Amino acid sequence: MQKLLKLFYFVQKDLLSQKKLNSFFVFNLVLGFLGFLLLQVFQVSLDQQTKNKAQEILGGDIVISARRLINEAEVKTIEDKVNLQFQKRAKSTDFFAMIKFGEQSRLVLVRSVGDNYPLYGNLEIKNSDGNNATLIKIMSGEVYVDPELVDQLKITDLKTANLKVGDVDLKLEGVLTSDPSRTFRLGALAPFILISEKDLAATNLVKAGSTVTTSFLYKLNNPAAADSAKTELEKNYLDPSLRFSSALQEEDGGNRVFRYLIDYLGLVSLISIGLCFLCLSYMLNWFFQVQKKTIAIYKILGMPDTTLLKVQVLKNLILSISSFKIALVIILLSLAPLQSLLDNYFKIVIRLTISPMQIFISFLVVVIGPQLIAIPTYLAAMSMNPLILLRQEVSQANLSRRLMIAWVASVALLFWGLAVWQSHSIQTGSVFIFGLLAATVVAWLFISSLRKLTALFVHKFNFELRYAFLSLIRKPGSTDLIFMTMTLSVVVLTLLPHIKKSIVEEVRPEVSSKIPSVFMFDIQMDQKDELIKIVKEKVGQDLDMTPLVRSRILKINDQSYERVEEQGFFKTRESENEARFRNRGVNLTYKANLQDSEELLKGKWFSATPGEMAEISLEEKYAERIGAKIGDVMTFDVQGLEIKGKVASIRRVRWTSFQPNFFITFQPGFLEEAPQVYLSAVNQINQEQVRVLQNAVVDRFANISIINVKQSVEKSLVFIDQMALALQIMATLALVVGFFIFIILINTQVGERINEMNLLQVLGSTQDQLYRIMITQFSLIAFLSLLVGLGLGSLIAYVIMAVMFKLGIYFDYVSMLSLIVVLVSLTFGVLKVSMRPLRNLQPLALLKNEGGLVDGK
Amino acid sequence: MKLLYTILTTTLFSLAVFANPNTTTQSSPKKFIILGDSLTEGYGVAQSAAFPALLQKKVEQDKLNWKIISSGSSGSTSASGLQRIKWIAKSKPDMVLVLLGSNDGLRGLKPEETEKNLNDTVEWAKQNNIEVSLGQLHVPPNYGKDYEKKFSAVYAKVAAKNKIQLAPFLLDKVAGQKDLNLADGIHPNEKGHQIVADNLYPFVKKLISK
Repeated sequence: MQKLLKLFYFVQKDLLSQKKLNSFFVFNLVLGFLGFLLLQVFQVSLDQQTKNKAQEILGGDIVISARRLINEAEVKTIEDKVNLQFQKRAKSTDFFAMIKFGEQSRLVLVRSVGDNYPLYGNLEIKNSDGNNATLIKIMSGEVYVDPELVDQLKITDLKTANLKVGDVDLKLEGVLTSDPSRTFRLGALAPFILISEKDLAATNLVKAGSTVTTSFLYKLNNPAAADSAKTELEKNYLDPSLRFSSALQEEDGGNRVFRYLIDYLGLVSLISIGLCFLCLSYMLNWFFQVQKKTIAIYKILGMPDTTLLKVQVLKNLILSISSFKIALVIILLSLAPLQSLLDNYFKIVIRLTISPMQIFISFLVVVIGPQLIAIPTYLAAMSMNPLILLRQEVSQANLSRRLMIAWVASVALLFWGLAVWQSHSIQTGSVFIFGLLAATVVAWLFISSLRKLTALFVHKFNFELRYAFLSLIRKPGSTDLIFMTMTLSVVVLTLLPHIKKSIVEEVRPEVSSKIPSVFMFDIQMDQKDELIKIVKEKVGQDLDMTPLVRSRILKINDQSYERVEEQGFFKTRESENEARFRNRGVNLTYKANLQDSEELLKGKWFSATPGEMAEISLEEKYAERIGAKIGDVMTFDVQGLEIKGKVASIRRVRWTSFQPNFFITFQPGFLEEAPQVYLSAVNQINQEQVRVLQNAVVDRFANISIINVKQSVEKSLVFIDQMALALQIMATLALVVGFFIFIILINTQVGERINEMNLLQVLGSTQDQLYRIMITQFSLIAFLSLLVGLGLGSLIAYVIMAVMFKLGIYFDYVSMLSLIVVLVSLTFGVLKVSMRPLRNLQPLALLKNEGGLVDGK
Repeated sequence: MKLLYTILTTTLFSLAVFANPNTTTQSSPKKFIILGDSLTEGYGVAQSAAFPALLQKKVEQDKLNWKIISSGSSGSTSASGLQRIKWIAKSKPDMVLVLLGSNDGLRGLKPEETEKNLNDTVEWAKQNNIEVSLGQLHVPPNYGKDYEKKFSAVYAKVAAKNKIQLAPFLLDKVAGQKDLNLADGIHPNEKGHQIVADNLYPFVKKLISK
């Protein structure tokens, strides 16, 4: 106890004797922690928001569904077998039916639901009195419908309307205005109606032979376990008619956006950790450097090394914890104004929160973690001769090799573990850590080679330049530290804007005029011309028609492509899925040019004149799945006629482009005569025009399906825009944290050099010369860090975009230019401020050794 | 003597061909094309496991000199019938079985429209001397009794109007059976296609054995 009190006494004395230095240290730590915590708050809140949205769309954390009836007993067996732990369960039964209102009849998608529906999100309605409300529970005898159905069934008075659904009459209680489960991907063939499960039997529509989809939706006790529960269910149930879905593991396009966001947020977490580690480990190193004289004095006075080590660690911990507390209080006080800013100015629907667990984990990451990084510095200092400590610079290379390896391995392991934990992916975390390690090695090789190279030529420079270079060469430890920290900061700052740009390019249509309002399909060849006229007349648009030719792949290079079921069953769910994938036929199209949503990756686009065999272009992931490559010959059965095609190119398709996209595209000149239908879209028309067009098309061509996607597409785009803005905020926030590092670096390094400058002044250098020496040194380091950092960052961003995210490559040049401008301005600005003491240098200070920030009288 | 032998052999051979037009001794088989949608295409099963290929096996077992050709296109409605029969007419079929309309029903199209499209297709075939027949189809019960009744009646009307043969419902004993359909609950699996072939073969055999 007495020993502990003594330890605290030393720490207290130490803290009080260096108030100015400690305050400066705390100030910088607070800045670093503020950035980290703010990034954490955003990342976690956005991550939660994205997951909530995915849950709302799926309707639960996990869903068991089948295109048939599932009864209670069957679902109970499934739940028991995998021990599914859930808070609530809801059931829905979906089927198409013709409903009637008076003499009008219409195809609708009926959804009958139980009491707990929906488990996530709210169903918003406009009731028969015209008031907006949230639908809490659907009662027996009630029906709620999509707004367009009111028009289509010519319902004039909502209050008295009854709809006949099968054998039962249901009272129209309201119009659905918002349904969280309805997204663009569900742009349905028919309007939607909602009825109570209690009325399902009375409709008499669901019986043997009916085509229904039954879904059991679950709100799990632990929503994070949804993916593992899904895997467990798939492992235990080979019945191909049962489908298991979890909110974030859906294969369809709608979830692609969520997956990108989650992956991006994981990356932001990594970057915030990376920046924080860089900043804090630099700060600890620097803090130690400026305290080395105090340590030397303690050593000379006879303080044992172990006590000295304890005092240093304890002091650093006290300062770090205090800084963390200050940052936390500032964050907690800022949450409400920030939330208001997001709600009112940015219009982003996310709830900013910070949980106790998050605070605890952040504490471990940012307070405890960096102490580990500083261990070699502590140990080296303790084992050194006090006289060495009194020199300008302390080498950190005096650790035994075994200890050094153990330290590097443990830090790498710790950081890797954190990276995997934050990104929720071994692959993402590992690639990130590997990328940073590789960047560190490259940066170190670069700066050490440059140092050696410069040493050969430095004597040719004039005094100021020579001095600036020599001071970088003579202090390799300090030069490497500042260069590597700046370079790595630039690397991580470069990643986010590039990746953000690629994600936004992937999910957001680049031309607003190509955002569809209605889709049309099943357009026959002989209906094409007249339909074009109708669209031109009603909404003034020229219609683009995309041909669709149905076919089957028979062979790839004379190898049979289809899979035949053997012995009456497939061995695994995967083999069954693979067989169904291969056997289900393919849609072909033909066209002369690539469209905006496509990018050629390999091979060449079609020749202008067709040869003997058709050239074909395959989408990259499809080509990978079927195992086709450039030069392969594929044989198709186009409705009884065999056609061969040679793979001439592989292309990337942006599936979220809202344009008709195909896996296989033929060169023009081969499929024109084949039976085909056309798809088309009318873009950017208002709701009234949609109504007029729908009526005109349906009146003339009953077979053409014309689907109104205006509302769902617009809703999706609002979400995408909000997310894009949130990503921008996150990227900007990370930039600001990175700028802190630059400020801290320059500030501390200039502080370290004040004594040296004072000495130069005593020896006869002018103030201007001193400024020029300092500016040369720092401009050189900043310029080289920017150069190497931007190059390495762009390279890592390329790998992440192409390999991990599998996105099109888009570099954000504007952000890079802004980054250069801001970092250069920042470097000069901070230099200017931190070099102020140069104006009032007093030779006496040299004798007192009062350079920079060290307290003294 | 040699000439007499030649005449006699040729005459006897010709008589034999007339007596049984389907005999395997003929070198080029006649073409029986099934013009349909995903059911005919064999959506989700290998082409060799789809009912047209299974019908072909039965035809071969019975040593009938006919080739069953599948011309199925997933998602197609009766509106595509006319365009597609013109396409297959180029291969000079001897008989065509029209199995279109399921997607009309599933999309809730007006039965009158389906009837018109099927009539146009059948009439064009007849005008172009293609022997044509039609397959009965139904919609699932969830579409409601009224619609189901009107839709089912279309086929008998078209067959009667054009005086053509009407094949029995091909999904009889298959529709709605979990074990006989794919996970989508609509398309037959391999076992289901076997039953479809069994359902249709007596009708097809009768047609081609005429």
